[in-house]
Amino acid sequence: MLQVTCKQCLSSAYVTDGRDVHETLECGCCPEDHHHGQAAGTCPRAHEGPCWNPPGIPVRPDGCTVCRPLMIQAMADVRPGG
Amino acid sequence: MAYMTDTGFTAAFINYMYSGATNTMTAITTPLHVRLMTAMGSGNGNVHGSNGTELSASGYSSGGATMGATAFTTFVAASPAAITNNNSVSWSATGSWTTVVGLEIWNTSGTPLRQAQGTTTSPISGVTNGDTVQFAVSSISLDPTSW
Repeated sequence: MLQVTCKQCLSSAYVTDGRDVHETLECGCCPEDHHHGQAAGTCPRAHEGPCWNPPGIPVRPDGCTVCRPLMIQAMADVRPGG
Repeated sequence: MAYMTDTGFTAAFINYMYSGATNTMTAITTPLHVRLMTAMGSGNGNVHGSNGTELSASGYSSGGATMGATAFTTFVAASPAAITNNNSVSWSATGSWTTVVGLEIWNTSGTPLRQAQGTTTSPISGVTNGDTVQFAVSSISLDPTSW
């Protein structure tokens, strides 16, 4: 299971195998499903909703150039010599 | 990178433990590196094996990323009997990635050798430009009893 966190508003969720990491997170930062990696200024829905005022960040952070990029955290078990 | 397997490393360690004639161990050069794999290799400490297929993607450099000066915690007889990574390792994707299914841990000796490998608990898929892929502290576990 992966843990994904919106890098804009810090909303977090766990992703079950087979689900799209970006679709899983329903933080409202950008409900359009075409936008990932797209410049925020060209996405009509970018930064609507709670991410206008994400927790701990009173105003929209400058320099935010992509729409809802994620932090994707994984885990692994490894074997010595394996 | 030339074809290599972990066998060279583990064979040297076995010689160190059991062979009176060649009981020296070449120093391991650190930092250890984490390499992301799109297909796992094969083999274990006692048989020949092959390396996995390393990820080739924007935002990922061949040879992996450093795990820091002291990569893992020290093993103690505790439960769970495993050591875990001391430092987080992350990559910033600048394009779409193919699915990552596991990782390998390599030393950074002149001729680097793979020291461990294992699958991620879930495949890492759907990574796109702007995303960060991270193994947080304690997210990579190494169980000495599984050798």
